[in-house]
Amino acid sequence: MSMQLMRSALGVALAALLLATPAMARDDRTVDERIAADADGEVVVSNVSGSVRVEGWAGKEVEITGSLGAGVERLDVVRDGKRVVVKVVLPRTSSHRSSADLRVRVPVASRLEVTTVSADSSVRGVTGALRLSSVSGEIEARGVASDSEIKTVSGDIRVTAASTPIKLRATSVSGTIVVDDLSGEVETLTVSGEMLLDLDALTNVRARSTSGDSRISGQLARDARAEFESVSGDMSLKFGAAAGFAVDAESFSGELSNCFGVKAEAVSKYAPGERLSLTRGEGSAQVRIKTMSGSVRICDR
Amino acid sequence: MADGGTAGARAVAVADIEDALVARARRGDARAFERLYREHAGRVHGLCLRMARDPQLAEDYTQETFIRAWRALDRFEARSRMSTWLHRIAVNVILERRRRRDLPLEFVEDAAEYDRDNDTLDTPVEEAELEAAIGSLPPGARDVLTLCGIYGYTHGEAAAMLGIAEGTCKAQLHRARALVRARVASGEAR
Amino acid sequence: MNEHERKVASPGELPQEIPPARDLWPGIAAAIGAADDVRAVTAPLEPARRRFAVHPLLGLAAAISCVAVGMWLGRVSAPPVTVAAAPGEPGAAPGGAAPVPAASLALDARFDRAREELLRDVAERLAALPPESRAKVEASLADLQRARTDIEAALGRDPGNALLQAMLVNSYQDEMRVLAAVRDTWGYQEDVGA
Repeated sequence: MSMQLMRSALGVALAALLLATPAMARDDRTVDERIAADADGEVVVSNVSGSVRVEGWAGKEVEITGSLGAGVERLDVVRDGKRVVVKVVLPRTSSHRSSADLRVRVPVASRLEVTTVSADSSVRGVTGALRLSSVSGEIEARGVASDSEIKTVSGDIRVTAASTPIKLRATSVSGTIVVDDLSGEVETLTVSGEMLLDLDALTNVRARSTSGDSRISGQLARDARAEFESVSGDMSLKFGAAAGFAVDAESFSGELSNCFGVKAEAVSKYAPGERLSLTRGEGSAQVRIKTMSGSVRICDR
Repeated sequence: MADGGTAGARAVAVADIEDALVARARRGDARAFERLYREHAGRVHGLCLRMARDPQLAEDYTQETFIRAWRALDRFEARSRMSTWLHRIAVNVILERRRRRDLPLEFVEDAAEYDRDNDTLDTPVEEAELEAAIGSLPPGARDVLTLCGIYGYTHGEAAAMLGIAEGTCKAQLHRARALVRARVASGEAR
Repeated sequence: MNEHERKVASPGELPQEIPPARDLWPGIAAAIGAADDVRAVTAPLEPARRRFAVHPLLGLAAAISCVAVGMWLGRVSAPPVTVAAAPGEPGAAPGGAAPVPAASLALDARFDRAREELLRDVAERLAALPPESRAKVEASLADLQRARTDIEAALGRDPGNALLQAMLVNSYQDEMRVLAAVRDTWGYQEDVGA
């Protein structure tokens, strides 16, 4: 059977695939590009699969090195005023086996946006605001020094903050969220991933999960607000607070325990449910905890 | 709770969602059925395309398959796999239409046991070339190679779907493999 | 080209899924008599305690941001209330409004349509994902479903429970957040090849 007949036999989609793109067999290609960039501009990196490693540097350029897989159409590197876009372009009906490994160096104070589907990404030493998202890739960010948002669907998230107070929002569906050394405000949401937060001075913290367990510890500032919620995940919470904290915890069927000797009380004689109220020191920071069936343990640092 | 990523967790998750969709579709919820369509259209169409070789016919057959599936939802056993059930319907549609078009049925001697010869070519070839070789087979051989070779059905399952004896199925498969090998080797598929 | 220059050594390595070149659903829908606005058959009335298994939703953007419960409940005639706190507690709604009773969580067809559309979008994107990611997402969606079922079952035993009502609303929010995350993050894939 001729190639022609075969194409029509396999359908329009496949024929388009065969005809639309240059029919060159490709090996992996190396990447080595540089483009001038503002010291405090914005850099946007998009990749589907493979990896993205971003580092801040003192250069006034964005430098991209790495390699593109055989299935990658091309790498676009475009500057538009203060914005540099680095984008891995795949053919329309890609099989997702097309991956690219990129190492990107950006001016240290850049604002950075990284979007991937399954590529893992890591960001180090970039002090501007970060917007990192992935479907299933892991995201690691170190030295986060500005307000940032990190989102994944199933990839794990790992953040280590710098010492300046920031606002961080880290959300995932099934990925684990790990945050270390952060001061300021933090919001973490997950469905089934775990949350492991080891935090510093907090003015606001909100952590919610459906079934994932959490271990959260931190220092609560005066007048801090903290909210923790889980449907069935267990929560282990440890706080220090110079101006003290007041806890109001509610559970439907999960156990509420603490290391201060305070007993939880039944909400009603006729229905399940427990409530635990306790105050430490001045009771300045307010902590609200809600769970359906997860167990909660509250302690101090 | 389950951390996604294991085949087991996935199978349970998909089964849960699919069972719920089937239940709703049975009660007349067309949107739930549409989700089932979206989920399975690729597999059904893939089968139709290889068996019919014509994209227009393949689309017709795919559409007909889902229409019949909607009408037959009551008879779908929740325990069996929806994709297999849809394939069975698709094969029926294709065979009926073929008979209607009066294609001659091939005669293949009922074979004795064949060795479990394997599918694997000595040298890998481009996907397009293998698809072409399969497409060039006579219908009986092509049907069996598609069901067994591409979609992994057993001789027994494929024979039941095609309405032939299991021995005939084995013979057709053996023949199909030999023909594909020959066509790929000679470059006849190009 | 990449896809079809890929080498294979057996029919088993050929793709099992080949989507049709055009969307066949409209033809199928027409043949099975599915009209756009009408649900052919309404689901049998479930026992009272599960009535709020339906999902009232506003548009996606509103759903994702933190919205007052009132907006979530659509046609509920009561003013927006905070279900989180009992009257008199810190954080309670002004005026000490009581939590919305379960019976008033009603299905609004418009919201349900919005959610169905979103589910459809997500289903398509899910199907397009590489198998491992897809598996994880489906497992999490199953987790969400399980959690919601658990909360509803618990509410069945204790319908007036404000804590559980709050968690239920949050679980709807979480589902929307998840579906939107799945849909939005993959907006990237639409650009691919452009």
